Amino acid sequence: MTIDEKKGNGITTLSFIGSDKNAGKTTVLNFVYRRLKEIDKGKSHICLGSIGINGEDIDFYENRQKPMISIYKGSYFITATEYLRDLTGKYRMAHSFTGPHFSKVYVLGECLFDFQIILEGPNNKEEILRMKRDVQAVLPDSYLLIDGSIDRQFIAHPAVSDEFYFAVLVSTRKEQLQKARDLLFSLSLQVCTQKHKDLLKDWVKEENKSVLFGEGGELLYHGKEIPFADKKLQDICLNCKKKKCILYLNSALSKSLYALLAPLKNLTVILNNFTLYQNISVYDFQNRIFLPKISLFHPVKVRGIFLKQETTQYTLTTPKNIPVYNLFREELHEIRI
Amino acid sequence: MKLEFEQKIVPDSLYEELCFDDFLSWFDLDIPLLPRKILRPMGREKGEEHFKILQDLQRQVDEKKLRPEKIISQSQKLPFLDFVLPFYENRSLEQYHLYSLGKFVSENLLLEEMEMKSLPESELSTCCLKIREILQAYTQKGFSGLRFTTEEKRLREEIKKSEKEVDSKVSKYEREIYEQTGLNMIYPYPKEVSRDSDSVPKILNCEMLSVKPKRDINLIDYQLTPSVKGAIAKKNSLTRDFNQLMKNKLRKINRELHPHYMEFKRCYEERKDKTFYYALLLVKQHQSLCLPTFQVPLGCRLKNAVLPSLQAQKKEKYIPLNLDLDHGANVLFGANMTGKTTVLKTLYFQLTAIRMGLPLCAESIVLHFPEQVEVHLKSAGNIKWNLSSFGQEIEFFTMNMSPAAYILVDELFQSTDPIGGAELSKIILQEFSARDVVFFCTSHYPEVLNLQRIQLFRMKDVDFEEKNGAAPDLAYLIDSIPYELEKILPENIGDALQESKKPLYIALHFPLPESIKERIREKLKG
Repeated sequence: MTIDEKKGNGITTLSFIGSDKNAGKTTVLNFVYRRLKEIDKGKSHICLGSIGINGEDIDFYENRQKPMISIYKGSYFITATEYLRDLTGKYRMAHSFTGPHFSKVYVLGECLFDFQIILEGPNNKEEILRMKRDVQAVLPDSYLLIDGSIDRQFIAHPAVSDEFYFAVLVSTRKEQLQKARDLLFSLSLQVCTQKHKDLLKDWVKEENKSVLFGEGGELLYHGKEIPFADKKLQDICLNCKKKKCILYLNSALSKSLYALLAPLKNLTVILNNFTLYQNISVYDFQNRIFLPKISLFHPVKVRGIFLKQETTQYTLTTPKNIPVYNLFREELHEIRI
Repeated sequence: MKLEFEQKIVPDSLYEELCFDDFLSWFDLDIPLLPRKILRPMGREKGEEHFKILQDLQRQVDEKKLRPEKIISQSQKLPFLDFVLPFYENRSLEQYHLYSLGKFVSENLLLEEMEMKSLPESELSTCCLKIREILQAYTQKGFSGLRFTTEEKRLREEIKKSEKEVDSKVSKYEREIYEQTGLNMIYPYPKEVSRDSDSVPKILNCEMLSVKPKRDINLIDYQLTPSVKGAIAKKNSLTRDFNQLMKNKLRKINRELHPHYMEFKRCYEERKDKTFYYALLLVKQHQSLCLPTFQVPLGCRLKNAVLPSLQAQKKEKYIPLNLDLDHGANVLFGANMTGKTTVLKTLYFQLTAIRMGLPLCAESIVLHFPEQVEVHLKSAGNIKWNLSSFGQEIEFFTMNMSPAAYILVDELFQSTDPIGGAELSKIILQEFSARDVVFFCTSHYPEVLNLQRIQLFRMKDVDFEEKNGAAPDLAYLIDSIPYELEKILPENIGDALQESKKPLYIALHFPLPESIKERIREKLKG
């Protein structure tokens, strides 16, 4: 099991992402947190946080209780104040995140007892980064475990997450299965070449949604509009179909954009991060093959993939050199303590 | 501290052009207590009181009794409590509120001690002392955790013991399961075991496990023994008792804190006000700003006043404004491109800053308080409102101009024909020369120079002579313009009218059609 000991000082942020609802993300978080506690033996602080709310207590698909986050004495948590009302006396305040930098009040607390908790954290990049700065001041040498969401693209930014754990649902439902395949495919994408990185270095900014270069590195277009609605970008891409071009996207490779770019075999698409390749094959593209090469600007460092198999009827191709586990299966002894 | 102006106080285009946002960003200090403040124009009384407080504090700074950096550095430790006050008022403070409240009162008391060194007659807030005392009795480690009574400690120990008991019984239970079935029932569960697994018969025979078929697998879950269930129930019961004690404790703390609420609220608001004043003084010090001095007679005297956006653009070539306006009508006369409109905008910028209570970009400003400031700049009219530029200018004068108002108009009645415009200018200037206001306009009409009881100014101009029939270089002209005002005394009115050829020289520097340029040259030759 690859839950390595912490190397060096500072905050190591591990983010947890599920391929879908009920993919077992909270279970994976609980599991990794427990293992980390055992392995680290109290050398570093461990703090649990979330992007948005983690705490729906009912699984609406299967209509059963969902696992809660269990947190143990000595660990830290970040959550909104409303979830602390029943925990009076069981925690110690370490920091309060308030205005003007935060849209609501969050608390960094230390557990004095073991308890279960609902976690809620900021939902935007600026607040998360600010929160990390504040945590760094209080807990300079720590692990920050973030219950993340694939819908929040900023989670893939290197300033937000250092490494990832993925919970993947292998379902009998076609859409869910395809989402899992898409996620695993995006994790296997290569990082773009250094030449392309150098070309893009001045363009990788929040506001730039698309940049198109010609083969010789000449700038053909850059846009701040979401690419699927950027008609000018689309026209230029189609006009350049015979030229070798590089298209950088800082926005989701959407269904329509995917269909439009699919026949452009001379194109190289560079996605800012893996979250931008989502829900692509869920749609029916009449078996159209996507001819451009795809790569990532920011690499995705995956610590492990955890499968939750509703069925053994389907197999998924998992990226090479990334450990894959099924926590729920008794037979897989390699994940035992 | 993010400062903003109330909407519609400054016309949008002027707000942007004069870069008020950049000016306000000077005050962006990281002070949690004052996250954002919307500035509204102040009336005379409130405004004079506001600047008097600033002047008094400034005096202490000058006498080295008060150091704004130290005070602000301590103020930055005070948490923002706006979200806590409603809970305090309703006696429903929670543990996390006590932390913020405790932090505020203790840091505020330290700040008050610092202030006492400069103001020996001031004293520590009684409410903060009382609140700190109560919180210290009920919390520990810098208000971060609750302090437990003997009974609470005993219960806590019992919970710990029962947790150990549960752990030990669960471990024993899991060991037995492992021995009987070979299954490691560790997190997460239920476990999935394939139907054809060798261990299935043993699992089905084990009374400590439940088996539920699901598709092509079996879900194996705990079937806890009465002994384990009993230990868990005991732990839950103790936890419930502890929770009840904590609720009672919070109720008691709220009861003891509540009598100090009103006084604390006042103290908190006062602290916010004081912090705002200190922040203004700190920025004043960092940016070398000044505070206005108010006088009873109407008028204003600006010494080296600056328009920050223009200064940033022109750098060392920027020339600050010196201006002395009396009550009644003041007219700024002068050639094109000499900076008349900039004078008006610089004055408007300073007057707006004063109304909003901000320190000023000038060496000194003495004036009567600008309770009302109205400005009219050249416009191209507005189709939406069905008004021509002339209509808009006329409409400007329908506004209610209260006594002591500052009225600034750019190119007075340049919006209509020169004959009518000059006549209307004379009428308006005669009207305002008799009113208790400061009316200040720019104008090109020579007719206004002969009016009585009007203060006349002109922009100092650059002297140049035509050399060999060619006009001087435009860059030279722009660089040489002094951007300074001078009063036109009655005996110099004739000189003021001598500059009528300069616009022709200037026009020659623009890419006009050659036929037009030729006509201009002919005109210049006389």
